[in-house]
Amino acid sequence: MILKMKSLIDSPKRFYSRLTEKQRLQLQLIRPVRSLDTLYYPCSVTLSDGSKKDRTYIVCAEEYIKVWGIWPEEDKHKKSILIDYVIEIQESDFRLPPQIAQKIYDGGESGMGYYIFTLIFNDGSKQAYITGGAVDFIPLPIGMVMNDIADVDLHVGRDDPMRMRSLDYYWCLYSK
Amino acid sequence: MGRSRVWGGESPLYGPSWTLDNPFTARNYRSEAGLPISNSGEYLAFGQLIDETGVIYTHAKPAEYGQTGGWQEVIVPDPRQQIRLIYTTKVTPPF
Repeated sequence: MILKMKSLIDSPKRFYSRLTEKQRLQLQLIRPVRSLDTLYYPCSVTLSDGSKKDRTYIVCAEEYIKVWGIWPEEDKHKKSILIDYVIEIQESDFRLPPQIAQKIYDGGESGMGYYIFTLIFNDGSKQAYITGGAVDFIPLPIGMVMNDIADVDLHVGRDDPMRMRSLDYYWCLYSK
Repeated sequence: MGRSRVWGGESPLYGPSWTLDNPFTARNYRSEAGLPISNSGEYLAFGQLIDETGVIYTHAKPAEYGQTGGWQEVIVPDPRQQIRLIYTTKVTPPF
């Protein structure tokens, strides 16, 4: 195994635009979740070409890089959109209820870089998940909606053969 | 004391789960450390634990089927405050 000793700590800062006044006001209506002193706004955004990205994290770039270590535009595993193209920010129907997501983040990782948890639904049924460091956008069992989620069991579901994984999502960063 | 963390993909640089042992000494680090598919294993961070408050020493559990787990795991409740990052580097090939 060969180490490329290029330190990422000193990787050059990228330029991201600041929020416009309209974006700032719309973002204020989204309830964020907090993890490792970083605020995440899981939301739905409409872009200037009319397309809609229903699973997007809007995050302050300066906070993002301290936790995630690499800019999304420089990582082949991540998808990103520029805040400059965002004309509308709305609640996402595909995000976990904030209080459930916050409980998962507060419970800490289940291992190196991942979370395992089991959602409990109002009808008593359960569904296990494994996600990376961002937990908010997940698929639900057929027939369920986010409002059907009653609670979550942290770190439960490791051996569940039916556990589900995260859905794809976008990063959208802005400068302070 | 030195601590390291393998990260990348959907797994961030910082998180509570770190390890005491040198990842390069493992036969199959991904399996022994229980890395999930979503952790691309492309990067290695090395830091110094400067605050032992609330730190738990345990052993990694498998994240995926077929993994062994068992690698030493150090759970640091507030890693950004308790670990002083010394370097992070790209690893080729990934873990």
